[in-house]
Amino acid sequence: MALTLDDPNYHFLKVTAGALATFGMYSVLYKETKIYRFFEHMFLGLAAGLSLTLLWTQTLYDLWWGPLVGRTADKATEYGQNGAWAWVLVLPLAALAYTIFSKKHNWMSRIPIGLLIGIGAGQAIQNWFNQYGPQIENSIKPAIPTVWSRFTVPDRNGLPQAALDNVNNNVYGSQAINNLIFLVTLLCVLSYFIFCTEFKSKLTKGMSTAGRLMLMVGFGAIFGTTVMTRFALLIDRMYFVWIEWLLESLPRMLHR
Amino acid sequence: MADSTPEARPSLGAKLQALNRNALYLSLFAVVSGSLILTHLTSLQVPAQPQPCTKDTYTLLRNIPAGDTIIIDTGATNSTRGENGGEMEAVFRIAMRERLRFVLYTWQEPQCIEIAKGVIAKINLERRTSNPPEPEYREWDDYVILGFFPDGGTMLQTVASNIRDAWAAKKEKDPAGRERSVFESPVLKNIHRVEDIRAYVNIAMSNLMPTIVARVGRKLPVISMITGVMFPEQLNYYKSGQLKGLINGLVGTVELETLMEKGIDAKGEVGGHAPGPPVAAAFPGEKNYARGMDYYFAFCCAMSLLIVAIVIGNVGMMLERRRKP
Repeated sequence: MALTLDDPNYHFLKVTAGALATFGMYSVLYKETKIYRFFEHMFLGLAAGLSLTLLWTQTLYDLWWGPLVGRTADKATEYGQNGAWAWVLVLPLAALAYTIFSKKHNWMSRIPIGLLIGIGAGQAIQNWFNQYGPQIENSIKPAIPTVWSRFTVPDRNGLPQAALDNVNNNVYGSQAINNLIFLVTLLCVLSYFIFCTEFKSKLTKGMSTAGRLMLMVGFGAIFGTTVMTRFALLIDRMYFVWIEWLLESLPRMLHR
Repeated sequence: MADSTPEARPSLGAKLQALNRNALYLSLFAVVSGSLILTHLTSLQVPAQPQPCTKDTYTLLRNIPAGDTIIIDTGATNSTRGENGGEMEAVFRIAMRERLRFVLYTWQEPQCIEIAKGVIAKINLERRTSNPPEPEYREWDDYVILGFFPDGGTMLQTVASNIRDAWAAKKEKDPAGRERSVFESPVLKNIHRVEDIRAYVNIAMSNLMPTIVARVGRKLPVISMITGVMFPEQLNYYKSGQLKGLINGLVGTVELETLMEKGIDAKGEVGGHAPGPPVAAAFPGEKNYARGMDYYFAFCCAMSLLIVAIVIGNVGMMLERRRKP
């Protein structure tokens, strides 16, 4: 019996293979066994093969082969395109990167690498300010309230434009406190990274120590979110095994 | 020998600090498996309180006029399906229900496009079998797939200066099977500058914002749907206004699904009923709670187990310190 992509049997086989691979990979938690090694190598082989195929079908075919060979006019659309033979020149240029494996000729690999570095450096100069400019600008915050009659920021929803502008242009007490905390944190953390001079006063020493502590708090938050991510990945695999494999795919195949 | 026997027996504090690793793994697997099955059988929903960054994301996406085009730059693979999978499903559901057209590509991993195609097929099946049935989303008319770009930075640089040049070589098959330029498709035929695109949604496992916001961030609103591990780093971009929306991994996905279910009323309340046009309307009666909510109870249970394990270890340490002179 031939299997089709929509066939529940095919779907079950596919999901079963995934579940077995999941068990194989998780077996490393017990210890590194031949089963784990087998699935690890299978994964690497599949990933390499798939990447190579997709690199051709999704990238090189459209961006290089198509412009190189051109296309004949379609009778329906009368849309044709001449091939641009000059595209063939990028092939030996790119192939020069592989000379890195030869002791004698590896200097040639620097040509394509140099080109890439040049492109990257050019973009970096242009884009540096776009990336950090708004963040630097946003770090300069007012720490003194402009409105004393009210402490918290009024609800912005449903306000007419003039009133909304008024709220946005003022600094309320609660905002000023937030901004002050931000500015103190910023200055303390920055002072921790000043290595060109020795801090002697109690104030600067205290700021540097406080900066280090605040960095630790930040790293703790990042560690916490990292753990959350790892749990999400485990939950997904367990969902795949219990729900998609055993509770959905198996009954669908049995009740066909 | 007789003197050393009592000391050889480990104290309670020492025992609590040296729980068997395999037993801990087993208890984690048992808790996660049990809570997932319970959620599946009972359709359990854990309440979530959306953060401002999630609300901004939903409000932005929900208010793009039908027929306009957005970019979905996917980095979701099977290895991060626990977080990126739910984010991608949610953004596709929102786009399809609002009839937004989208351009799909990746510069993160070649396999991402195949993963995204699977998700589109799954949501199309949902739409086909819903009551009443909704029209399927069709490649060429409703979305185009540009594939994998190996050097995303350079591609985005070109997109920012001349979007038609950047994707000039990209072709797709129209419904008649003819291969044509993507700029002849309904998705891109009215796009002449990057500013004509209404939003750039990046689904990623790592921090790509330095590349994206530096190149196109000043020209169109950028939304980041990221894994939890990268969320603190990306908050800088959100707080400085470089990101107009930010989704925090699995927690953010659940919040987004909650907003799809409840919406934001005219006063900015989630699930409120204030008179006036809502800030971002809900999708009532549709499948809003999906992969995010399926995982959320298990996630809460796993986090609780982790907290219990940390408490046990710390109690053990305190007992051990008290015991020693």
